[in-house]
Amino acid sequence: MATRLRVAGHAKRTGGLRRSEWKWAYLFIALNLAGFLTFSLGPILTSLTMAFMNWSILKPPEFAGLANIARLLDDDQFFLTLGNTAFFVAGSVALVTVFAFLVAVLLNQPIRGRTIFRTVFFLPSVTLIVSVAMIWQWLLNPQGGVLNYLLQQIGVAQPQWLADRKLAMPTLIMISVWQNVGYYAIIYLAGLQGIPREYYEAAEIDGASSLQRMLRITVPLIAQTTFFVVVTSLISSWQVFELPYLLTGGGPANATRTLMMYTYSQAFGSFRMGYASLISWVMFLLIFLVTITQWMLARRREHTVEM
Amino acid sequence: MSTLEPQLPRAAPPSWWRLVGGGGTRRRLGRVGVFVVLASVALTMVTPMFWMFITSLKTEAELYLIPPTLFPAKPIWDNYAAAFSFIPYWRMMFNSAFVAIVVMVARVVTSTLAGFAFARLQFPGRDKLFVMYIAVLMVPFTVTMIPLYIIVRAFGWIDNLAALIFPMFVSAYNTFLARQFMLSLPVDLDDAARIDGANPWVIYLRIILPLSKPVIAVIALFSFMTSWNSFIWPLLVLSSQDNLTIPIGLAVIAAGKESSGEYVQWNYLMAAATAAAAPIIGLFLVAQRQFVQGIAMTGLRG
Repeated sequence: MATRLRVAGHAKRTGGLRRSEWKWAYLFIALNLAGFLTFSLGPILTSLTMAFMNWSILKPPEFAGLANIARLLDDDQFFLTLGNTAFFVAGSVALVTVFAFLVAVLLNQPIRGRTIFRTVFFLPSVTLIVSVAMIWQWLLNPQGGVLNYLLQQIGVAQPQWLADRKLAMPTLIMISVWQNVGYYAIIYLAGLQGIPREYYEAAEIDGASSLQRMLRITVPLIAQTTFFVVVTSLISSWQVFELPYLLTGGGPANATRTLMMYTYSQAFGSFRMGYASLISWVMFLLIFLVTITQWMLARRREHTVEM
Repeated sequence: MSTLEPQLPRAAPPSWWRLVGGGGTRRRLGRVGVFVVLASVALTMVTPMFWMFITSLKTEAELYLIPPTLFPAKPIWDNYAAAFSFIPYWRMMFNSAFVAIVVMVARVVTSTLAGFAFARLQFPGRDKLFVMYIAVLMVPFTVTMIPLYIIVRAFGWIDNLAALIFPMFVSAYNTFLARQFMLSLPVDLDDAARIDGANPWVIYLRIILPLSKPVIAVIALFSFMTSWNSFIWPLLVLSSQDNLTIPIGLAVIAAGKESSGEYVQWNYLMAAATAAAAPIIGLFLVAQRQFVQGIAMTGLRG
């Protein structure tokens, strides 16, 4: 009897505590939630409805139905910038992932001065992007640029880099890889350090070569990190803006004009807020689809490893 | 350990041999190879940065010398003063620092508070709310940018630093990070404190917050950096020179080189670029451990 009473009393007390805990909880999240709804979720939902409207900011928005989508399908500039961006994404994501992985594998060896190497590799990714753009503009400059001077010394042709229609985008990819490889290498390094050393020792006893060890142990076991690296770099490179904006202005002949630059100019140059919103949702859908595909591939790969 | 066997004269290994660690010759040679590759990558990384700095100290005549000089004959530190005179440099530095610090503090406060509630308190609707936060993580800034501009315009924050602060004071990602971290702390801590009659505020302030230093460091560091480096949003909402942040100010000088009649020399441009990049590089060199741990933490949990 006594025990039951005590249990009941306890339950009542925790029930009261629970309810007062609710109040605390709502107080704790109030400020965050207000900011989140006003400046994050709210705008996202607004943007979705705006994709079906015409809005020049100066006049009130009017419903446009599917007119924006019809315009999109007929918009050469959209497809041009989409293609340019896809090229940039493919190049930079692939190169940054491969290089970051290789650099991390090397950094994971027992080498003197590892921390110094790590610091140096990371330096470009903490450098202001505007500074990065200016550095490369100077290095690649046709007048006084040191890179072409060095190429001249070895007797190689001196490319026009950013002024060359075919070479401008690959040059931007190169700069972007140079800037970001250290950052992703550190993510990879953290993943590599999570792989138990015993796996490698066992493989070595079985006579596996270092290449075999890398392909059979490291690559499969690091798949999750690879997924994270690919998705993160994908999201940021689809939105590439600063480098082409600062270095080429989208030129020469629109060869480096990206989707983000096009969205920006549609929204704030031509004041087509609705249309620009639609383009931004297309960007989101692309990111989303590629991420989901990646995720499913990564999962399947994991299964085969387990088997 | 002296032995009675006669010592055979043996060629001393070269002094760098010890640098590559122990093990057999093959192992050592392999390590030398790794070292050489790493060193050449390091050179690729550091040379452009080095060249920026070196150029910033050269005279105008020295810029176009053939062959280029690796070190300036006489470092011209006055180039920095000259570069700062093209824009209200200190004013812009102040703007950048002010925004970055306010956003950093706001984000640490809002995300640890909400992270605590999401991780360690019970309340109706908790999980549904949190799913909304996760859903937002994948949406790129492009999508939010246009409505955000309209909101900021309605609030009258165009060309005002408020436009860089208020829309940024909550980060769904940081909230997510704080919640994940706090979820990993043992529940017994809260229960013990509750039995002693502590309310959630006391538990947050006295128990959870002190244990959350690693995640606070990550949030602080990365929000400072994001804010400092932010380009497209300030470019959009700021216009008058005294309100610009340093990246935009820098872009203005760089663009001035091409458009207007004013031609800014590369030594001044590189001085401006170095000065603008210096604060974050300095921060990185000081707080390197936190950077690396932070990236590892976000990378592994993301």
